[in-house]
Amino acid sequence: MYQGLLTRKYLTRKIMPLLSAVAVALCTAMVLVTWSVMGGFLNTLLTSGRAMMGDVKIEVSGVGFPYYNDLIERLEAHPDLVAAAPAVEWFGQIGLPYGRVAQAAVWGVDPERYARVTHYSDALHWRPIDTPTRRDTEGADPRLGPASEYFTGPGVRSWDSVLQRGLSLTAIDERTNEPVPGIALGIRLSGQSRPRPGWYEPTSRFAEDFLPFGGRVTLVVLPSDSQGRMIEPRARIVQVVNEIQSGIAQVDGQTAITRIDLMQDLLGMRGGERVIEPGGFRVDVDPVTGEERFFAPVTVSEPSRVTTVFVRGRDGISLDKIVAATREATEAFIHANSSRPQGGLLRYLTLATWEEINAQFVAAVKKEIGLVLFLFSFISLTAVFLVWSIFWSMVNEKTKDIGILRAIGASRRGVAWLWLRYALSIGVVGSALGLAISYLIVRNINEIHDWMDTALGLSIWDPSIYLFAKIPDEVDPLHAAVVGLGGVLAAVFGAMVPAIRAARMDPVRALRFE
Amino acid sequence: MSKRDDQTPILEARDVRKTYRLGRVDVPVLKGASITAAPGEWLAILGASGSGKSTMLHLLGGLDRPDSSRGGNKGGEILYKGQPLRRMGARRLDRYRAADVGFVFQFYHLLPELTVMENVLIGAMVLHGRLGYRKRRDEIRARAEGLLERVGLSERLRHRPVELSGGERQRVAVARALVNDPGVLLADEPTGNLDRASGGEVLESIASMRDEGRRTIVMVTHDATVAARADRVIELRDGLVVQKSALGGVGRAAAV
Repeated sequence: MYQGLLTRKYLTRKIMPLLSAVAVALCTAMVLVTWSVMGGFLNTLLTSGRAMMGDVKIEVSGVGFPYYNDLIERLEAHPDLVAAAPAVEWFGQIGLPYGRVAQAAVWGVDPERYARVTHYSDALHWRPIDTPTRRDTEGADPRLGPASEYFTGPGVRSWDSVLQRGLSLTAIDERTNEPVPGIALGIRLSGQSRPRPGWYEPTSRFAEDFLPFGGRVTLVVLPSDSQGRMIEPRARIVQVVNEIQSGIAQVDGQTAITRIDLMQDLLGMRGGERVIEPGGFRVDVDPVTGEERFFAPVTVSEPSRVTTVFVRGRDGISLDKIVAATREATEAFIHANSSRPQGGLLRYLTLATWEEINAQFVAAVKKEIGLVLFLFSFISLTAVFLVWSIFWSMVNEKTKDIGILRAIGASRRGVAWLWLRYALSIGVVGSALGLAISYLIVRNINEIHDWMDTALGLSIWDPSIYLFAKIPDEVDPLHAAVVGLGGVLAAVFGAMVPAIRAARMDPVRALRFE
Repeated sequence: MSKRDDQTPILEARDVRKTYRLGRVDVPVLKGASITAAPGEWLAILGASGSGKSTMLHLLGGLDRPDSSRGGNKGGEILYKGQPLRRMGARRLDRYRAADVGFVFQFYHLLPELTVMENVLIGAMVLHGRLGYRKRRDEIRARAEGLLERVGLSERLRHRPVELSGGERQRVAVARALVNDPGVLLADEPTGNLDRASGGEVLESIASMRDEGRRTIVMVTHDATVAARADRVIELRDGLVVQKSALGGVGRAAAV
């Protein structure tokens, strides 16, 4: 009882305990901010795959595989899976205005199916908006004005129609007025009007050749046939229909998305009869008879191929279950189709989650988080020693009080509990303060970073390194609870020795203490 | 002789020895002193500085223990109602200090962060613990207010010690010592730090708290005039009781 009274009095009438509380608060905030940002980074890394490739990716890279529609039907029939979408993933060159060339991962997708599996529609940048974006303090974003100011081509009347162009990946040919495949570029791919990393700032200065406003690029790919042999490079001029701003630096900076039929055409993956030219010499001489032998081109009938099928599981189903369901459907698909023409390719089907695809990187990030947390927790031990030294000095200062309390009957345990309870209160106050500070910092970390960038020229978070344009700004309640508890325990632990010392004091000496 | 002298002593020191170690030197403070205090008696221990009188008070109050010796009783015994304090466990001794005796010190020893009222109540908080205190809170507060009223501080309940005079602080200490209604009040130079007028007020307060002779008072002082307020005076010199006097003034008057 008396411990509560004295704790309250000491807390409100002394500066030193407040210093302890501040030390605990700063250490708590430091650890939680680090954990939130780094943990959020890992979490974003693990979940971001879903934004652009769904939960699971089935693929035969390079040559691709046939009968994918059957696979998609089987996948979509499974109760744990929602949708699947075919895609052709290839590397290509994008010829940009003024002779510039960018290397890119080019994905050919069926836009409607792809949008059901991923968050593709959310990633399209050119769309109607009502309010300026976070960093557009001057309201310079063209999307705030009428779309007609920038677009002169057919089929574009509003930002909504620009969005529809992106969603369908289709443009209108100006000469024939027919729909033709378009391309959506990663927003950082063209390198235009991006003054700072992760800071997208469109300006009208580039309106004339700004790619989404009627601009065209040359898509060049180097295809291979179903045997994996390289064929002549193929090029196509395509109209840019929108840009992708997924927040994933890898996608925004190095990816272009176009229609799957265009990519199948360019890469020879479109099914049908095809003439295969023999390699090497067309005429050969039989070494036995000396007669000339002719190798005629062979006409083969091939099914359409894709390199990839993206799969999305039902919400609320664990990733393990989604993988198991995908594996089950895929095995049935292979069993049913492996004996069909080119069915042998199905033997090479692989199945991977986003985390598995990036396993090495994810593991490195996990290690880095562990290391950083360990180091910061170690640094936080200074709080323990600070509390220790402050309490040591306070026990010194309050030696006479301890003698008085013993004289009026307080037990050694009671005196120890007085100081531990005091430390507990400081720990609770400090941790609560630390949690509040870290919550405010984490929730506003992007604004703080922007301010540092603008006012001080300090840009710490580089999306080209950290993959994401936005710094993670969520505080995990579990992490907050663990760190808060750690702060309280650190304070109590720091006060342990001074509390024992206080309890073991000789009351007579304590009363005579000057 | 007082009419109480023939009663069993409430507090007794038998051949008590106490030695302190200062650096490498053993300094004997009490060398076999014996005293007794009868129930309701006001006993003054008179002695010069260093005579061992405060040490005797600390031993009587269970704040310190006589010298220990293996297999014998060389350090002497302190007995409360005939029971040796040496045999009390730590918990029982804590309770003895909280419930059976009350201390008043020369330098008041109030807790500076607490108000006058809180300084008095804290003794009860220590004794009763959280639940016990809450259960008796009204009763305890009423007693604390009553005590502070009796020492003339009913208007100063919310003041902190720093806002009080020396005499007022000492009267708060008297109220604190008695909040648990102990049978014995141990006062260590209660007027030693006060001017004569304030010291007189404190002595009046102590005298008024004898509660019709129900409470034993053991008071240590170096001042013979202060000691004269007691029923009986004994003198300590160099750790030994050298003189057992007749009754002091007030006690003598009461006895007469």
